[in-house]
Order: sequence, then C-alpha cells, then structure tokens
Amino acid sequence: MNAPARPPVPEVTAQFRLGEWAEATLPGGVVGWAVRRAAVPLVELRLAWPLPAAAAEQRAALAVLDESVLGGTTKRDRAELAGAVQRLGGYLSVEVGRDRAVLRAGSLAEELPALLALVGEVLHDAQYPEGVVAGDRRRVAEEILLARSQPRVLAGEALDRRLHPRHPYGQGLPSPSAVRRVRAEGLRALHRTVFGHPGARLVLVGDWPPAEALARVEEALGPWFAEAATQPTLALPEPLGAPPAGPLALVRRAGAVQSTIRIGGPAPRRADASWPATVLANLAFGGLFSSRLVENLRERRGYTYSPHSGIEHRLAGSRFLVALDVATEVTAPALVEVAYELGRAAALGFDADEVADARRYALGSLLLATATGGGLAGSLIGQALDGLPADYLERHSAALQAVEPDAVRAAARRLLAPAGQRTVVLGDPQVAEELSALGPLAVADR
Amino acid sequence: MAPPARTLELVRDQLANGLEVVVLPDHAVPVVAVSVVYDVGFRSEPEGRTGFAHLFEHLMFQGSAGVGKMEHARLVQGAGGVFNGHTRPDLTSYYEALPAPALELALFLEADRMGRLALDQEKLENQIAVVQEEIWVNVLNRPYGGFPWIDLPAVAFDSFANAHNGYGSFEDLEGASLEDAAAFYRTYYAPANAVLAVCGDCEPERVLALAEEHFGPIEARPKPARPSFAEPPLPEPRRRQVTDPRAPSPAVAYGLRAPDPVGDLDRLLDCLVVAALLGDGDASRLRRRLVHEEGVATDVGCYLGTFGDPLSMRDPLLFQVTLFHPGVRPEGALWEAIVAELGRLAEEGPAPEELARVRAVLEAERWRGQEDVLDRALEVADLTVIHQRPELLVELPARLGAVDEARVRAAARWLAEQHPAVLEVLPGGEAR
Repeated sequence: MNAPARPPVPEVTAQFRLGEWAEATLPGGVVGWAVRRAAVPLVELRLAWPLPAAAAEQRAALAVLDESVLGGTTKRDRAELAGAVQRLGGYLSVEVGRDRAVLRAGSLAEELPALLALVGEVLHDAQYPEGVVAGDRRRVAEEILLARSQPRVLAGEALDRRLHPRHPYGQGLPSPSAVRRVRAEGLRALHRTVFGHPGARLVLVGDWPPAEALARVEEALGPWFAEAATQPTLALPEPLGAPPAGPLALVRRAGAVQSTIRIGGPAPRRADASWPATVLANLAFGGLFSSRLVENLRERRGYTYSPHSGIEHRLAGSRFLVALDVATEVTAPALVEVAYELGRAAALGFDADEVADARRYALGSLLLATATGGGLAGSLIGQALDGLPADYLERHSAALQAVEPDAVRAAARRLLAPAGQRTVVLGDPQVAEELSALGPLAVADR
Repeated sequence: MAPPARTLELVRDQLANGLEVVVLPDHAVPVVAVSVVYDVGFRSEPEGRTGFAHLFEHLMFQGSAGVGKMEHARLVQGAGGVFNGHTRPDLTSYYEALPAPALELALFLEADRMGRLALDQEKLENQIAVVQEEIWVNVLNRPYGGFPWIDLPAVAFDSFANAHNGYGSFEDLEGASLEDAAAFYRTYYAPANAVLAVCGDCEPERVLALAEEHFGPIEARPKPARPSFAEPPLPEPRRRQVTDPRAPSPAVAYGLRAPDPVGDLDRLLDCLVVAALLGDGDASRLRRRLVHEEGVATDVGCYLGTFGDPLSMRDPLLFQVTLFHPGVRPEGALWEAIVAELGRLAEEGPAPEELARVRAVLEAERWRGQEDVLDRALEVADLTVIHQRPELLVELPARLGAVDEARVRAAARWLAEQHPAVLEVLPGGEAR
C-alpha cells in the first residue's frame, strides 16, 4: 500500500478560556465563582473548607464525619436524603481529606435550586443520629482494615511519615479501634469546626446564567455562611518544612511479589514564578508516557507497568512524588535507574524536543481536563482554596507558552535533585540485603 | 426552566475496504477524540493463548512502519493529547483525545498501526514482561485483585471462550510467539472488522476525506466470522470458594444470566433499572438493607457486564451483585436477602417515586457520559461494532425512560428465577 506521509505535530494554539463567569462575595466573606457551560443540561457544585489544625488531628472522627454527615436530618433519614438527591438526577458526597473538606454535588441543571436547598439542609441540620453513627463507625473501621491491606495505601502512609514526621500530614489512617470509639456528640461539634470554618470557597459550573446561579446560592447557603463567620477562625496547620535527612526506608511486607516504591520531596507552589517551568520539568521527567522514567523503567527494562511522577498541592505545601511498583528481584536495580534519571535530569536538564513535547502536552491536557463541567469545577475549587484567582488557568496557559529553556533547567535542578528526595520501599524483607548495598537502610514493620 | 432540546449530528460512512466511519461533530470545546474499535476481545483468543488479545493490545503501541517504538506516546502527548487502549470480552479499543488541530496526526497513527504494524521478538518479550507486571500490580499483589472478573466467569460458564480470564496465565503469555501475533493481526485487525469514530471539534466532510486518505489504502480482508459463544443458563446454582491471603475480610459475587444485549435490548435495559434500584446509592434497596439497616455488608455493588458496560458486550453476560462483608452472616443468608429483594420487586413493583428517581439518575448519567468527547467517541464506536446502530447513542435515554413498573417487575422475576454462579473470597489470615 502507499501510505500517506506522517503529518507534523501541530502547535497547540487554542488557549484555555474560562468563558462567561461571575464572582460573588457571599455572606461571611465566602467567595463564590460560577461559570456557564451549556453543552449538557447539568450543573456541578463544589464547596470546600480548609481543615484547621485542631480538626486535622482528629483523624478517627474525621473518617466517620464524611459518612455520617449524610446520615440524615430532622426532615429525612439517610435513604430519604439520598433518594431526594437522586430525584434531581443528582449526586451528593462529602470527602474529608488530609487538608480540606470537599462537598461535591451535581444535578440536572433545572434542579439547581432544589439541590442547593438539600445542601443547605445538610449543613444546618445534619443530625448524626446515634444509630447511624454506630453503623458508620463499624463500617469505617472495616474499610480502614481493607485500605491498610492495600500496598499503595501502606506505602503512601510510610512516605507521609517519612516526609512530614511531626505534621498532621504525616499521620496515617486512624486505627480501627480509635474509629470504634467515635461518638455522635463529638461529630456534632466537629461538624461546626469543619463545615463552619469561615474560609469556605464555592464553585458552580453548568447551564445557568452565572450571576443568577450565585444569587440562588446566596439564598440557599447565605445563612449558613453568615453564621460560620461568627465562629472564631481556627489556625491551619503549619507550612510543611523540608523533609528530615535520613536513610532509605524499607517497610516489611512478607510475601510481597512486588516492591512498592514511593519517592517524594518538596515542590514549589502554583503561585511561585518557577511553577510553569516546574510543570514542564515534571512532565519530561516522569509525567508523560514518553518521559525518561517510563521510557527507561517500563519500555527499555520491563521492570514496571506504570511508573510515573507528579506534583501534589496541599494547603500547607506542595510535593513532588515518584511512584512505581516493581518485581521483588529488581527492586535495587529499579532504584538505581530512578536515581540515575533524577540525577541526569537535575544536572543536565532536558533537550529542546523534550521541553517542546512537555509544553504542548501541558497546554493540550489543560484543555482536555477542563472540557467537562466536573473537570472544570474540580480544577477551580482547588485553585480557589489555594488563593489563586479565577482566571488562573488562562494566565497559566499563557505562562506555559512563554517558559524559557533555562527556566526549565533551573526548575529541574530544584525539583529533581536526588539529595532533596526521600525514598520508601514496601516489600518483602529479602530485598534488604540488596538495598543495603545502595547506602544506609532503615528497616521497619510499618 | 426546561432543558433545551439537544440534537446530535451523526455522519456515517464505509470505506471500500470495509472500515466503518462514524463522525459526531461538537464545537463546544476545541478538542477532538478518535477511537478505533476492533471486533475482537478475549473471548476470541485461541485455547492455550489466554491473555493474548490484551497482550496484542500492548503490541499495537510498539510501533508501525511510520512510527518508531515509543513514538506513539511521544507524538500524541507531544501534540497535547492523551491516549490509551483497553481489551474487553468482545472488543478491543484504541483511542486519543487531542487539541483539534492534531486530528490528522491521530488518524495517521491509527491507520499506520492498522495497516503496517511492526513487530519483533524484542518488543514481544518486553511487553510480555510489562503485562506480567500489570497482572502482579492489579491482581496478585493486592487484596481482592481482579475480583470478581478474573474468577467469576469460570463459575458461571463452561466453554473456554466464556470461562477463561482475559489477563491470561503467565505460562500462556510466555508461550506467545510472533507467528501467533501475525495470524491474530491478519485475521482480526482487518479494516472490515473495525469502526473508526471521531467526535468533537471537527467538520464531518473533512474527517471523511482524511479517513479515506489514511485508511483507504489499507488492504481489504474479509471480516472474520464470529462464532456464537452462547451457552445454556446454569441448570443449578454453582459455587466456588477462593482463598485470598491478602484479604482482611470476605467478599462474595453473584452472577445471574442477563438478557442478550443485541437480541433483547429492551429487557437488558429493564435489568439496568433493576440494578439501579437494588444497588445505586444509599437509597437503593440492597444498600439500605444490608449496609445501613442490618450492618452485614460494608459495600454492595450491582451492575451488568464484565466491567459494568453491558452495551459493549454480546451474549452471554452476567447481572452481578458484589458484596464486601465482615463475615457476620454466612453467604447463603446474604443470597436469601438478595432473592427476597428481587422477589419483593417482582411482587410489589417499585414505588412510583422510586422508579422516577432512578430514571432521573439514569438520564443525568447519560448526559454525563455525553459530555466528554472521548467517552462519546468510545461509546458510539462500541454501539456500532456490537449493535450496528450508532443512533442508539441518541435513542437510549428515551428507551430507558420507557421502562415502566410492569417491565421492572418482569425483569426482577426473571432474574430471581436464574440460578446464581457464586464466587466467595475467603480471607487468608495474613492481613489481620
């Protein structure tokens, strides 16, 4: 056959556009953004609160809180509440993470007022009935046992401890026994601390005129935000410091057929001038399938299925992470290769082609990730909580276009330098001997 | 405020070599999605070659005449796009989503590997190793790995095609040869055995012209005859227990024979509504009863098809209920509760407001599935391969909306009369 020639890779010329949007300062100083998206008749709501230090330490209670908060109001029990949300073609969930509580909801667009009314009802009137809390804490305790049998959860906990030993972010999952001691009374108080924190941020994306949508938000949720503003503002956790020095950590998991490797270190904030260049450095190192990490560890050596790197933003600090799961017998060789790639990129930077690929990917994936209402709402709420402006993505998109090669090299040196990274390996104890050949090794059971 | 009527422009064509093309223009966002779906999945792999369809999917990313190894990823991501592939019981899908100007590049990449795949022994060995790592990380090194899709088919079905698992055995994977790959490619990767779908910011006439330019020169080969994989339903309940050394508590999956999605689509949709009534959210019957009222399960799932995508499968397939539970109630009693709920639904039917809210959720889910151009490109290609009817994308909401109380009752009764295939996962003790 006569095959056509390969077309060139086009530049990404389309810029991200937020489109029609509005901002409102709601009662209590809560900032809300609404964006019009009319491709489908849906609406997406995100409401988030930063988690104060005093709450962040109550891991067991928080683990039950995000189940029991939807456990019923004086008007309806849990099933009736879930049914009322479904009647709107909707969903409603609450997740309390390490640094924030996020309420996610959505419905058919025409049902927005009814959805907001249900959200308001939950905030004002969640009852935490004794029976509901008893069932939830039992189930959450079971779920924690399940989660802690997952290697990725155990390795993630080990890395958190290693990076942030004296910080709320370094605490792992609560123990099942602590969860079983959680009381309804305590949850009612914690509800006010978490969902009544005055620093809430709100995002709405969907098929509504933005200003009108925000007016509906104010009607339904204004009273709750106003009441929250009368609460004392509790301090957030301290900013993350540099991770302490120390040896490679091996966490024993007897019989593991794979070693779960996690590497982490500090990363700049998105407001930092070096951020766009840092994005490109991460992509070229391990964020792309065609990156050096994947090319070497997966495609050249077949050590691992899905090695990758990324940057995570939490309210007290950002961090760089490398994750890979490798066969037990190649644990040490895999670590050698990762250290080599980190060192090579930090010392020498990337080629112009690698930077160009990373730049086009960063620009294109931003368009793709924000193409749906849910995707855009998720991006915006994270920005809002981090104190970034609503048009941040438009500015970021322009900044990515303008990054100079030298800036990528400087960012790579700071982000990827092996000296800044801490490594944990979860795996069979037999790997200890080989690992100790790489340098000092600390072995622990969890 | 009633939602405005939304129509869907759909353009269809077939090239002389048999490749079907479906285009769904949508200019809301400057991105475009391309999917190529082949009418072959792991049910069609030869005996002694379990896992081969999925291994072959990996090989399709290893380069072709105009694309070097690793170049596929570099070109797609370097154009600002994302890509992947997946293997299912009845089809194998390849796809990209990219900024609109990269459409032609994506079509070139898909055409080049459809027409001119370049394989060698080193690539084969490297990808066998990568697939083994994939199986380790997804199945062997984690609790409940591959539950229930790895082990349930062997309980529910007898024939090799239906009963074996699509990841395959390590022994079969290691036995895979370049000759196997060449034969599989020649037979199943013929243009007449595939559908190309393009969805997003594009002009249909230009897409059809580009499709002709890039895919037109590929040699025509006959569409392989697909044998029927039909099996009679189980004559009696069938149970199997597996011990999972990493699991901290038991789990159980029940598989009931579902209606034929192609021959009896309306009855399949009835079952979809039954699944939502039983297992979707805290208002659903099984979740309310087993998780919240009786506290005998930590999680309940209820879905159709191996991966919850019944419209991407042909007969036979299963209606599945999965339960994670602390072991306070024996499996038999859990099954009785499920049968009791099916029986109650058959006797009394759903309450009017219960049916109304499940319909509203299914409608909103249809919209959510339509919002993403990549999801839409994949779904329309699947519907074309399996049902020869891309228009179903538009028709499904109305057909789901037509499921009424009488149909729900009939479907529940029919399901309650099926003999279950039961897969129990017992904790191995290591984890507690």
